[in-house]
Amino acid sequence: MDLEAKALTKKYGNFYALRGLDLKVKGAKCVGYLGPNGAGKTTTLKLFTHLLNPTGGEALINGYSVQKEMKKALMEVGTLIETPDFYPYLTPEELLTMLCRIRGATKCDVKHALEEVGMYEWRNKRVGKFSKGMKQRIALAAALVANPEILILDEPTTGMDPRGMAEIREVIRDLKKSQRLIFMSSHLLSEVTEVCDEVAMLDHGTLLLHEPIDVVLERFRGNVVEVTALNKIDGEAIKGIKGVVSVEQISDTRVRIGFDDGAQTQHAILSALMQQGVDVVEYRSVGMALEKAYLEMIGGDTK
Amino acid sequence: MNDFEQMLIYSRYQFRNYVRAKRLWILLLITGLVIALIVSVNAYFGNPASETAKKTASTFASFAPTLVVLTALFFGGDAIASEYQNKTGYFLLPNPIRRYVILWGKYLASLAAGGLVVLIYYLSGTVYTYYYHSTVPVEYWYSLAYALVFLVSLLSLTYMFSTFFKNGAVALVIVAILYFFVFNIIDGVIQLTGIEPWFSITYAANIITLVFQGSHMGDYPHKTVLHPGNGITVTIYNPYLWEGLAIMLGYLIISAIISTIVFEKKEMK
Amino acid sequence: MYLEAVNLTKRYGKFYALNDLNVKVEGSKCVGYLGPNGAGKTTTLKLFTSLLRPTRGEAIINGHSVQKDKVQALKDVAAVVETPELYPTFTPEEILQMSCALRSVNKCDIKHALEEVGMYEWRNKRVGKFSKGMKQRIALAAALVGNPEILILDEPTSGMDPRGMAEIREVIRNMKKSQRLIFMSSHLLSEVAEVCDEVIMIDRGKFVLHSSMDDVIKRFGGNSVYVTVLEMPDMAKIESIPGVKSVEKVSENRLNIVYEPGEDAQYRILKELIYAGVKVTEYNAAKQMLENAYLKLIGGDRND
Repeated sequence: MDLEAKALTKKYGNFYALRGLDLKVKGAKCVGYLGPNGAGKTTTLKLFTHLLNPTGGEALINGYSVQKEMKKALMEVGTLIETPDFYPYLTPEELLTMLCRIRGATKCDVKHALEEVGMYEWRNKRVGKFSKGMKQRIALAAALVANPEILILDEPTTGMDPRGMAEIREVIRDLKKSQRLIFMSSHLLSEVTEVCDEVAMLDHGTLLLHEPIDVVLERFRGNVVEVTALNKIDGEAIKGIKGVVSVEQISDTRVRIGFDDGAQTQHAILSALMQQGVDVVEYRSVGMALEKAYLEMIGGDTK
Repeated sequence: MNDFEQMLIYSRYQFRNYVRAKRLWILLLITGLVIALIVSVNAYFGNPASETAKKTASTFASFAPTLVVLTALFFGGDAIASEYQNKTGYFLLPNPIRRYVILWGKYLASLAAGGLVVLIYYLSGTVYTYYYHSTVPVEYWYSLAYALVFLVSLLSLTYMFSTFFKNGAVALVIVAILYFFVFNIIDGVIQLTGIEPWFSITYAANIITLVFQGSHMGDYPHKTVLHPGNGITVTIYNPYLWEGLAIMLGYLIISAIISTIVFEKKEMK
Repeated sequence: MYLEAVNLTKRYGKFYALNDLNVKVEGSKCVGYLGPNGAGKTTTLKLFTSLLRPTRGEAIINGHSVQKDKVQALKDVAAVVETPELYPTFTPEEILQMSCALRSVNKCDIKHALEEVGMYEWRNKRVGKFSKGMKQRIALAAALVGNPEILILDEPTSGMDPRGMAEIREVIRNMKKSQRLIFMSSHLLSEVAEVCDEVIMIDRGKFVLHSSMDDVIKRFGGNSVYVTVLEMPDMAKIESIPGVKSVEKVSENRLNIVYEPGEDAQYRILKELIYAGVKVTEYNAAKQMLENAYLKLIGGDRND
């Protein structure tokens, strides 16, 4: 169960959409693929799913070259790229059944796939009139229906409201538990922090980083925390705690604390707060570490 | 799962999509209107009962080439282009299914839907002719067969054009202009040169109606030279029946090869 | 400095896009406006900016009815609905000058507006090559140039990449500091949790909740929290804490603890963890809480 890019390159005229990408992801996990618009994320996913042909290099899935042995390579892959449209006069059930039969998949479960994305009750309606969010759900169901080992998802929660996003995150967590490899691009770093185990970052068609998310979070740890308590927080008392550099009172029950760098200090301050009788319910870094990592590694949108 | 099985499965679902689509019903409506027009105009201004069965059948079949062109447009004009434009391609293409399977699966569905329309049309003609003459001339069945061959060939050509474009509407308009204007103009201009337009598919399609001419099948002049004056020479060619078939077959094969290659190479950018 | 909706209603035929909304937001703060697609968020924003006329009720800004006294009401308001396309050959400075001239405001401070969105150094570059985040910042600057007290923003980070989102968030924080009221709709709860002080939720055109972020965190304590630790503790030890239902190892140093919802549970568990010597560095639930609140109160996309 693996995806591997070997010197994968895609060139349009003189422009490198992807330049010599070497990347291997393996095992039951979620890998977040990050980068600005135009960095080459979607290009990579399309090369892995035979929607584009590489200018150089190879995309391998489970050891099979997508370019040379497409059918074998894609046998265990489910894909969601952009929000696809569907033949408008068919129903979700028909579309997924067709997909199953075409794939010759034995482990197909149309009902289950539709339930997972919350569209079972719509199974007999024609998709022509569905909203974008509903089509996105059907597209995800189409990726899931053949029960593939590997899922390639391109911004799966795009255009969804908070409930949709939460549901899809839940689906991804379930998939991880049932031993699937998920390779997904996203702009939502909080989402990636929550569901993914590894991150790969890309900019200007070049891979910048591929590491376990813990390593990244640790390396880009911030040094400001926000504290929320049940009772009133006395900002002055906090200033005495060792390691505390600054205190900003946001409301009676909420403060921001700047401290000397280090995870030890961050923990020690929390301990000290609790000892002072602050009933802490929430203690979190301000700004996501993943965002810090992103902003340090990567520039803005590429034109 | 082999390619051919995949093709048939895809084709069946695509056909279902076509059967439910508005387009098929619009085309059937047009067909119905034309039939009503032919029947009523002939009943009112002509006297079908007094002419030969062959003449009656021939009158009816004369609209067939246009109907085939319309059918090809409706079911082929944007068939492939729309996969890109409407992003339906994103649903199907990233699956373990070869491109040519999708192309020809869809083609088969178009052919089935289009064939249905042509058959309905010819069936109405059968009833119409039989009503007046209690018989249907054998030429009529040949005409039907030629019309179906024309559909097979023209649809393949339309699919080829459709693979060239990324915008369904553009593909549709260009193919429509080609079929209704460009080919006709070429056929007209070529009459002045004295060259036989063996490269034109609309020239070949003339056999659908030529089959009714003369006392037996194929009894019509292959070449007629006219001198309307002012030193102008007009040469009118009629394709032999076998020649018409050969031209259509040529179109089928060549456009099938080209569209398969183009679609295989085409990227979803 | 306030926005107030009084029985605000917008009906299309028999369909209520907004049904009797009564809400008031006041002071220099950021108010997040949440709800599913089709809930009536954009309708509300359009009613406040007189892009739509209400079927009933009133939108009031600083005491003036938007419907009856549009000029007075909108005097100190600026809105950015979607990222507008800017003339690509213009520079930010030119765009702001134009914006000033069009509004004929006298207190125009282009420099200040550009500084507030962090685009001053780009003032003489053509916007054609700017990224979406930069264009959105220019649009915000154009909104700020008349120095409005109140800003109405419709999904300001929609469609942006992470840098664009971070930039806009930073700009919003800055605007709060300079005494402005920001009323923004968003689908990104983590963003709202981070920059906003209050939230309002609506669903199917109807008001659901208006609460400070602090209260949301307390009231919707939910039932799960993400804990980051220095070293992985004994899972059994955590499971034995009263109230803890399950513990899941998310990664090498992160845990997800699911617990029985109840008064103080979240606080109690953290306390127990610390007493048990677990080296907690983060105890993170703010986003979960907002999400909990949202999921409890509100349905999915509106499809009718």
